Amino acid sequence: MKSLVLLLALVLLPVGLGRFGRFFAAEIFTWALYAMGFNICFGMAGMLSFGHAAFFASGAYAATWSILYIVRDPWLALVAAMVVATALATLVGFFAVRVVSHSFVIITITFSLVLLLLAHSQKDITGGDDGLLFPPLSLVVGTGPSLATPLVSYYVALAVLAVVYVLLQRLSRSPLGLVFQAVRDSERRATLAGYDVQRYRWLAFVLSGSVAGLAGGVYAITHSQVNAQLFDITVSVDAVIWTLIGGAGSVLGPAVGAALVLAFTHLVSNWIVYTQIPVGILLILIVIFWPRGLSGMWRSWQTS
Amino acid sequence: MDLSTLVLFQVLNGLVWGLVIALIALGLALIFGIMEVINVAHGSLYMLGAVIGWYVFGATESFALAVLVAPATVGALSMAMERVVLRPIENEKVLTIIATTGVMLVIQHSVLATFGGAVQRVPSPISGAVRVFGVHYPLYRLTVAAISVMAIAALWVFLTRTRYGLWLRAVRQDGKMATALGIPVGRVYMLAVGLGGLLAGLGGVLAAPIVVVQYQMGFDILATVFIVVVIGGFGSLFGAAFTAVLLGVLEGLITVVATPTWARIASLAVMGAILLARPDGIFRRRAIAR
Repeated sequence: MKSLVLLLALVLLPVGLGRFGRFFAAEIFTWALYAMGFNICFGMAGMLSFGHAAFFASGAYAATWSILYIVRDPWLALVAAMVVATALATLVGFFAVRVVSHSFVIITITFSLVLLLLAHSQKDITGGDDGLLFPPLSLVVGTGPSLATPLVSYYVALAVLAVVYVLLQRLSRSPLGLVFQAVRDSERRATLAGYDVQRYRWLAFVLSGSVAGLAGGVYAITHSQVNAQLFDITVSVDAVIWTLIGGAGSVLGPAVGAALVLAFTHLVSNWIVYTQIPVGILLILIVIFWPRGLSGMWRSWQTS
Repeated sequence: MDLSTLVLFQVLNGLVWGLVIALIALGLALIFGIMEVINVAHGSLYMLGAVIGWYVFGATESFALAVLVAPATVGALSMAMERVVLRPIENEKVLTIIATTGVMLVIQHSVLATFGGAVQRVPSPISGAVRVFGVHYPLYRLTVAAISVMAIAALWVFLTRTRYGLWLRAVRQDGKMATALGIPVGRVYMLAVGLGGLLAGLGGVLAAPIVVVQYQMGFDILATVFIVVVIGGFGSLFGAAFTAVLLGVLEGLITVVATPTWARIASLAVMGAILLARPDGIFRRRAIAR
């Protein structure tokens, strides 16, 4: 019921927003989708990945390539984004899930750093920092309203976000979701209960990567451009920050965190050019003072 | 240049670069070995060493002064980082990863705000070349190799021959026992992180005339030293130094036929293979037995 009210509010919201507001909201939905994808790995299965930028960016590039070289269909582009990100997550996960805690962080960070180097060096394929551009797409191949219109990109991003939200909500209550949680809470008990822990970790990692890739696809079709900076480690770190602020314990938490931080950085960007400095300080403060995330603080404040 | 000269040249390059990486990786492994903290800001500390070196060299025209000032400044900053950021959360290993990421963002973007995003160069302080096995090799790079070897030897002497070195090794073996014996564990932690930062800063200032100085130069190094410590086994100092030199030579050889990026991907592949065969790294058992 609550989520239906929220959805209705979001469907009606553009009425009260100007051009920029709609564009910015679409931006928030895209990154919220990415943060929710990240949280399958982190919140549900308990693996702190520092390399999710790789999946977001590879999804964005896969979408762009499918538009540039196959057909100018935004929906096929989203499929391409998911396929490529899933394949990459399968490969990275194959190595990463063999280790836990710090080593897992190191492996994911290392893979994404090497992909960043690769994206910068292969300029003829990725366009490097200048990136790749394509003319704005129409909603259906060759016809329909342009995806460059803020209102259209708003509803496209919202639709994808809503569908994924419903699916993740179901996943978190499904038997599979419960196994993910069991693996997260106690590897030994899950093993004793007969579950192949590494295999479930791998599955959670791949699902997480494919949703992050889908978000990358949404980014590409609504922006009509991608660049190598999407592989940057700060994109990976953003997912961690948003999830810590919004709370890893629920499906919607990371999305709320993304909305809060993006709105915050947008506000301070009027005064501060280098917004990553306050973000970094914020990250340190959160870790020292509210290690369970701001939403954890909210919850403990409510119950006390 | 014929092929054998080229191969020899690249092997020498790999060896020199491997020694610089060894310095930086030793810093990372030292911090991890003693505090179990993965210092994500380590690449930024290396970058900071190069940037401070560039400033000092620009102001004084003395590279020797830069080699002294840059590592000392980075080391002092690292000690402050230990005291302010890491001390309150030293028992939460995963949180320290996130906190050092915050430090990385602050350092990197503060440098972007002051130093700028442009690429800068430090001219080679020692010009000229010497003949090594019939190859004309830049004298500066040989000097870098010599300084690196001396720094590694000095670290070894410090760890095995001084009281603080003994304390460091004691805390590394058993922190609780060390506390019970009256070793000032807090000061030892600060020293370890300071030393780790100093090594990263030294690597940065030595690398500055070889590579270009830029605020994002730490990413490349971070990837490399992470690969090195995963292969070498976390916290194993010998493993880190040995692996760094080995990978340096391997990457040097690969750059004879391919670009440096492909060489890095080859290193990543080696890391993947090692991870499948020995998830704790090749030198891990040695590190535990110690």
